[in-house]
Amino acid sequence: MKILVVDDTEENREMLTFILEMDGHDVIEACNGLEGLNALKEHMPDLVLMDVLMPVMDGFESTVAIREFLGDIYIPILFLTGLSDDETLSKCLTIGGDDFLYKPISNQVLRAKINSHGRVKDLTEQLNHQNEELSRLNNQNEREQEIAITVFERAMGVSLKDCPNTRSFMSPAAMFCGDIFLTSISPAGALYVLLADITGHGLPAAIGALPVSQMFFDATARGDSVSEIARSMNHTLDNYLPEEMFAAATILELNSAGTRCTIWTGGLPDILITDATGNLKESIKSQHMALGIYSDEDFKRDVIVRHFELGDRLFFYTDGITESCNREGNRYGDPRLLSIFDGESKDIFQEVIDDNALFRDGIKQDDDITLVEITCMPVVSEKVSYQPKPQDKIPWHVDMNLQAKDLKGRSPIGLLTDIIGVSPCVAQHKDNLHTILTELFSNAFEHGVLRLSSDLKRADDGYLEYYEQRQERLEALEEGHVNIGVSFSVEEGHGRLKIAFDDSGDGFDLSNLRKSGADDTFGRGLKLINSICDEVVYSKEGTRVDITYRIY
Amino acid sequence: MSLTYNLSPDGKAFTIQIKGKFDFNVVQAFRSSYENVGESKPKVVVDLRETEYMDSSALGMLLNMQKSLGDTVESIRIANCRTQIKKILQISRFDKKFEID
Repeated sequence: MKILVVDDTEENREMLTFILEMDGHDVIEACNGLEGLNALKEHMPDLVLMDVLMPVMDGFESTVAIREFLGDIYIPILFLTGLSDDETLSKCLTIGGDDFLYKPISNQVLRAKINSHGRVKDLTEQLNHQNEELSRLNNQNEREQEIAITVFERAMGVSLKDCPNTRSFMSPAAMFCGDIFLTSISPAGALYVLLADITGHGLPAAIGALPVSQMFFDATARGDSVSEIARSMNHTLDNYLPEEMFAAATILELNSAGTRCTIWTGGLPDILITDATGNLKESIKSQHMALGIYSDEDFKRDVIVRHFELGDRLFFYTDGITESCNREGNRYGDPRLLSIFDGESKDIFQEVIDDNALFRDGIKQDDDITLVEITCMPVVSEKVSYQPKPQDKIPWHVDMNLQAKDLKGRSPIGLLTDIIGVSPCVAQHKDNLHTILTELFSNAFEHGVLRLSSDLKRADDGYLEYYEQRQERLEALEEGHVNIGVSFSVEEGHGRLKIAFDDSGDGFDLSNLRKSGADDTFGRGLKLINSICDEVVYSKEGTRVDITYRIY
Repeated sequence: MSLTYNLSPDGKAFTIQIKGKFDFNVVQAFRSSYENVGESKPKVVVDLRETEYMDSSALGMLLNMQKSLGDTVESIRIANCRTQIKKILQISRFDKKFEID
């Protein structure tokens, strides 16, 4: 150790230096308090032995000056004193000394105290060092969290702004939220919603949220089906997350008309469904295990499909609500939540939030809380919202009257789709309209004009025979017609297309619209038409069909 | 020819590609294509990356193929569908009968 000896008596200094150097210490000598202070500044010793009574500056004054100079740096100061009155000794310690040695100095005591204070100094240095390291790590951690928050918020922030179909309330338990609520509009104008609760909360849960959000936005931009989104998320989470982490989730698609929901739900509390006035209609239980548990092969991708009335509402939430505790340690629980769904509440969404806050009464939540409300109504979003310009509101009508000779050539549907697709507001619905027109045309032409029977398709190999007959009858065709009328108008701010097909066939028994089974190879065209159109009406003994297709 | 097919050299993958429209015009070609799947029980891929459109008759053809091939193939996958095609397959619940991607 490097030891500073401050004493005005030369013999004392020499004696101490002799002993200390024998023990292998380096010694610096000073003759009074002021010299001692200066020597300390110059040499920064590991320990100071300080006489009390000295000329120029005594030991007390010098010690005060040294402590002031050192600040947080710790160097033990041991007083050497001939005085043993209580007042002197206690002053030694209160002004900044750490211990004292009585004169005459005993070698043994000197050594013991030097060793003891050497250990204290080592420990203090270690502590200081650890504190520095800790505060460095703390700064680093804060910086990293800030970066992570930015990344996280950007990843989550691509959700729809101001989508009138959804309301959401999220209250994270920590800086990061392990609950995810995302919304997006598909190319076909359907609303996609994801609510997920990743195991735990805070940063680890948020890390799991990143791949989930990325996949959701990629998949919905492609218009993937709900079951497909569920499957690929499961696959990714199964690969990414450690065994004990997974994501309870509900994935929902609301069709653009706002009347049909396709839902995959795994591991979240029941989805509660009310009518427009707030009466509970149905609760849908979670159908599956959470995402990220099963391997791809074992994953269940079945979805639930429900048709709703306009104005119906769906409520999803994470168990942070029902499992939240009050001051007495009681849980909020399902019964209290369900009591709000009694048909009396004007605004269930807000009431649940308020009631839960009232229940918790300021008790810190220990899990993330999320509540989502979805209203069944036509999906409007910035992306697909149709704001007709004045010239877009001009109504129009297109007729295509196809005679036998016209029917023999290529299908006229491509041309018709192109013609009506010129209309600006129809343009983005061309794909759907092409499907509708193609199916309507096949029906009018094949079953009407050519009088081909679907029954043919029932038989083994009937499919081929059907098309062989189609070819024969087409070649032999001499008369017959298909008349197509398409008209566009704007009503109540929404575009509306009406399409009518008349054919020269015999029609069919309207009471006998054939219900085909899932495995039947026919009857799929009608199903397609019904799914895409808002209204389908047959008349004139089945030789005429009128459909309505709304553009929102 | 708007329809091509190909059995991989190891006999494990049988791919059918349809270019342009997948409708009744390819009924004959489609049917005869899968008569060539062979005995090696391959995975069948109906690759629709170049298919611009399909109608309900194509749906029937796909179902016919599934019935006709039965256990002689490992699986049937409909791949690389465009949005509208995927939508048609979904509306028709084909995602329950076929692997679709």
